[in-house]
Amino acid sequence: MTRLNATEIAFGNYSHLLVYYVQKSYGLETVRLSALKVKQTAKITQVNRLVNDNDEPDLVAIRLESLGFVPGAQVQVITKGVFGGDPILIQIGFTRFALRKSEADKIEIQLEGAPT
Amino acid sequence: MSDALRVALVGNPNCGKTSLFNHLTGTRQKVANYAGVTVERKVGHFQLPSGKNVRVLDLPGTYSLQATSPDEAITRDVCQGKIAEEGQQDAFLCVVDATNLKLHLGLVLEIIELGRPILVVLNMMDEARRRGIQINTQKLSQRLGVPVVETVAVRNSGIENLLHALDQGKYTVPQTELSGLTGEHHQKIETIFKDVVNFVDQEDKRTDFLDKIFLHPVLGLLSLAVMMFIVFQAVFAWAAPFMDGIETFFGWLGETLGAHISQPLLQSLVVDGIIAGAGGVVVFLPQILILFFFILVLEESGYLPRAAFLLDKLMFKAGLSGRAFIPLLSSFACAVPGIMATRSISDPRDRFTTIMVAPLMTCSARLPVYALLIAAFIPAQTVWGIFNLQGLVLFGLYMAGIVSALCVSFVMKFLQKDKSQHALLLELPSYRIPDLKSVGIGLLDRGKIFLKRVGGIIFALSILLWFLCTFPQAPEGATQPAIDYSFAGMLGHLMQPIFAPVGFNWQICIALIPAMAAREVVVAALGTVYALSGADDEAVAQGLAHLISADGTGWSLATGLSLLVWFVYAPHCLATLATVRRETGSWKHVAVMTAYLFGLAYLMSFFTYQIASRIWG
Repeated sequence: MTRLNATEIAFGNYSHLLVYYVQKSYGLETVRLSALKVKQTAKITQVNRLVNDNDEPDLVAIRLESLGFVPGAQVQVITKGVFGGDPILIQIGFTRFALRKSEADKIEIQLEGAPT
Repeated sequence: MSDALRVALVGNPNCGKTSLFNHLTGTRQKVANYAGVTVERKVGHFQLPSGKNVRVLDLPGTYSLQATSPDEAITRDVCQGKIAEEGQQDAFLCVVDATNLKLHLGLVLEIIELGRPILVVLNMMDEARRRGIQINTQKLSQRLGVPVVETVAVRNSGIENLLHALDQGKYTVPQTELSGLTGEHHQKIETIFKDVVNFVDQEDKRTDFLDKIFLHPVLGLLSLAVMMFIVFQAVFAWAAPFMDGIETFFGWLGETLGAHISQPLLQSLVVDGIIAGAGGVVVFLPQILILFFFILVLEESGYLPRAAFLLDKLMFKAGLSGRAFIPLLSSFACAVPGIMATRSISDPRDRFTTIMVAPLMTCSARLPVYALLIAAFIPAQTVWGIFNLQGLVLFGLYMAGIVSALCVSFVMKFLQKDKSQHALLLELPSYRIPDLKSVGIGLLDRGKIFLKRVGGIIFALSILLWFLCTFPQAPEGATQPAIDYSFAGMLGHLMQPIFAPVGFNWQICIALIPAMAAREVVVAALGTVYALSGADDEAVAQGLAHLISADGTGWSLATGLSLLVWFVYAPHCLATLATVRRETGSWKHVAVMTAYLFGLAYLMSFFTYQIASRIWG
């Protein structure tokens, strides 16, 4: 499930921003859930698992998957926190979950209506 | 009861499992901890219509058997039959919220894979109907390969189906080969869901509407502030008459019983030790019950996670989590229920930090101490035209506690070895009308826990303190107050050199010893040391205020301020320390907390005394 590319290795945690802009400039609409605006709807394309030095499983990513954050699931941002837009309130199916930005960052999405 | 049917309730958080448990068992339930961990173990008993007894275990709620916290691990282990004391269950009742089937089926599928006898309980059917969600129970049962019953856990009539199903032994080992499902769990769920559910709208209009208000940047924070104000008001104002009543009762009890005991030592033990000790515990019960009433109602209604959502960012920056809000709010009444409420914090590091800073919230036991010292040392003058200086100082003391708590948690965040991500992943359930029976049983639980766990310890320690303050007795013709000759008096004199740099005299040092039982005891203890005898506490406090602030013979202003600051930090509350032991299961944590709070108290009092004595002499 892990997908690390050269940029992520080189830039660590902030690599997703770079990846985002690179991919965007190539016309690839890979966006993180954390970038979704209020009331926007999107489809999940993948949940990234972080690998740490001790090879421990990424419990947060595993839990996200068991909560239904799986490829194909539709998500909508209901609202964002008062302070700095964090946490983010996501509607998935019948359920509302509050995710911190760092958690929402693990989730890649495709905006509804964007070309595949 | 060896022939009793053994069942366990499993389900996601917010599936109405606890309501179901409460309606099944009523008050025939026992709350304890699992061996070695501080996870609540709830066992209850009830009878089926046929007269068969059932023993039911309410397992901690979890989204998945892939546990991420200690309580989830307990659920996993019981489901897998790995906990010897629980043995194997005759049946697992998988409780599922009918309005949130997609999410809740995940756990059901995991439990089906264990191959144990299962009965799926489709709960909250009334809510599902209200929202126009139609579920084909028969198809669901076919697809899952296990029996399914519908319930409405908040009504006694709503669980008859379940009782009959249990009576008929309608729980079976899953027959999954018939269901024809393939793929990963979420694919199976999708298939089942499409097959059995007919729904109009995913959104719950009520939740949608209320969230627009309660999560709104302005209205949300405003309503949170109003709610906090009401809770505070209730805890302090509504509880007052009950507390007065309890105090009067114990005073009367002491006098009445005391009059019948002629032996002075025995009389002192019964009146000053046992009855005063018990009274000192029970007096906090009204506040705790009122506080927990509000917490339980807010929890049942689904509001609490909203408050956590609003405040998460702020508290996360300080090294806490939004979930710490309620425990810390409770700590303004009393740190004991506050620390008990930290159980809702899933991340063990966040929970530990919250427990550590909870005693810094200004609890109601500090008020009598602050009132005495402020009345004695702070002039009642108006500053900047509108503010009362005494009120400002009191406000400052509250703020000092809050700011210190934020600083301490911030430092703890840096000291933690485990730097892995703190997860929030908080479900904001649909709003619901609180179930009064559940609230009532919850209150009864909290009250019992408080009296049993904390009461016993305070009670024993109060008697120990009485012993320290009474023996050895004053010799014939003694000139000093009796306490001066006791162990406590000796200790006070021994401590005095240590406390000289913070400006405490030996009288204060002696009074600090009995104040370990509870902070407000320091007022009465100072009264004893200064050999004051007043008709009641108020008279003692008034006399004391004059005495300690008198020119020449009283304390200096610097000493007064230093003692005020001391009480912001010092852990003068054995009940809190005992609760920390209970909740963390470790004396080491108690030692760390005691050391850091006393250290901080000494340090801050030292600066206060040194600076104040240079300014005002």
